[in-house]
Amino acid sequence: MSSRRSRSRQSAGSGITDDQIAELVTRLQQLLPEIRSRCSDKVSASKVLQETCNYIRSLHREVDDLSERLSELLATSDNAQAAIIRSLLTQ
Amino acid sequence: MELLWQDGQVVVKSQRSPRKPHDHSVNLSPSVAAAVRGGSPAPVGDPLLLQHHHQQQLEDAVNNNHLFIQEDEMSSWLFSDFCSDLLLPSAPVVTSSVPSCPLPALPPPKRLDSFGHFSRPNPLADEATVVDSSDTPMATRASEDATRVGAQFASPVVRAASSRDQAGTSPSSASSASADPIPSTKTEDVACPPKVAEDGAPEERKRKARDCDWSNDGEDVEPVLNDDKRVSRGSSSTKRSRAAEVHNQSERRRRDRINEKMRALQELIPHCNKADKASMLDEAIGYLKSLQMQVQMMSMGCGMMPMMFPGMQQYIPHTGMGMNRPMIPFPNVFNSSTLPTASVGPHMGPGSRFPAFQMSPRIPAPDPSRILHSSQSDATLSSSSLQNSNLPRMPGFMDPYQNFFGLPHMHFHFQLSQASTSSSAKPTTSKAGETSQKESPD
Repeated sequence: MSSRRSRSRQSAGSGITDDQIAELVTRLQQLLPEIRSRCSDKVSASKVLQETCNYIRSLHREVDDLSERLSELLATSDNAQAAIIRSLLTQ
Repeated sequence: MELLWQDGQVVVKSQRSPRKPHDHSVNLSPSVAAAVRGGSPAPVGDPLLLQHHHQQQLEDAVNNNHLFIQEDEMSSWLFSDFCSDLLLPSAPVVTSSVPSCPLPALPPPKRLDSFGHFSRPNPLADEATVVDSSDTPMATRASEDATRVGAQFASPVVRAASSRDQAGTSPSSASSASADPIPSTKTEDVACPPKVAEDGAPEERKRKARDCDWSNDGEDVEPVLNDDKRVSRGSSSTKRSRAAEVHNQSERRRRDRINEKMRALQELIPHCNKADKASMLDEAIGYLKSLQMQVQMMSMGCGMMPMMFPGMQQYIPHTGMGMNRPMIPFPNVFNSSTLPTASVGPHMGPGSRFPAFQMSPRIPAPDPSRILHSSQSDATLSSSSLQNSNLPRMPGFMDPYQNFFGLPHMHFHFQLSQASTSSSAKPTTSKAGETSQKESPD
């Protein structure tokens, strides 16, 4: 009782509750294909964060790869097609 | 009575040792037994212990403070009397009387400090207020409790000291308790059984005082306070403290891990200088979504490319097999696509590409021709009959795409698939004449 009260008081001081953090972590978890595909519902917060970091890194790699390919394609393809793709990408 | 006798055996055994002061340990064990049983008549000669026994019987009527004082009185008596005796006698006394206590293991050395307060009324209050200086709000709150407890400690100890006529020995016993680990553990263990038999309230208060001490040692306060409820009555305080320590460490390790990951995440997210966790996570979610969208769009662009730039087809190896079976390839392409997020991209690629190749079944060897076609399409667009047959199709397909580009994502996706299926069905019939027309002039 006393511990709970003190804890809530402390977190209220920083403006966030543990519930909010947990909810955000859950939302983050739903964006991760690795954890989402795993059937276990209970994943630790640090695991979610770790996977988020990994996923962001892999997405960065993917973006780099794709942009490289796209720039290659845009350089070799003719203007009309390049314009189409550009309009698509800048959409 | 059996318990008494049980203890008596131990005591008898200890009585064989030469020294006199065992009388105290003899008196002690019945009191312990009485306390544990909570009401059995114990033949105690000592008036103080007898009083304690009566108090035990009136447990319901007496309020907690009284009980607490009573318990403390006993412990203080144990200290003043027993320990002062222990100062003089030899080690065998200690070693033989320790086994008479039913409770196990030694408490950690940390506990020594907290127990030393018992017989030092004034210093306890002082030290408890020292705890006030620790930064967390909980610690200060707990220290308030501690001062309250300290005040309660103070009065009985003084009273006991004066009534026992041993005011002079009490400080020395305190020093011995804090200096020598064995006497302190002894009294600690002896003091435990009444605690077990009583209500939880005084015990709670004592715990708070101890937790306070821990926070003084730089321990994490939060988990320690968290443990208050968890402990069962019967478990010894040593076990509890050890569990709390382990809990503390694991909790801190866990928090460190999370913070570390948070920092790593913060480095990965551009322009993120948010301090608190919630907005960090919010930012991470937003960034993740935008990255996913970006990858989707880019892969869509790449998937669209093969239509305009057939050299890309080498990235999608299986499409060549689909050439001979124009209606089937769609699922094949989806599966065999090397693009990671292929939900949108391949729709565009094959959808636009297949109509162009719909007439390819006429050509005996589709794959070589496609390679030929791809290599030529870069340089010249007008040499082969295949190129000619492709050309009229292209504008026809480009126009609907141009319209689709303006539409939202899902619409685009949906209509595109519709358009591709309808167009793929159409060319097979209409293109037959067209290609034959193209071939004849050549």
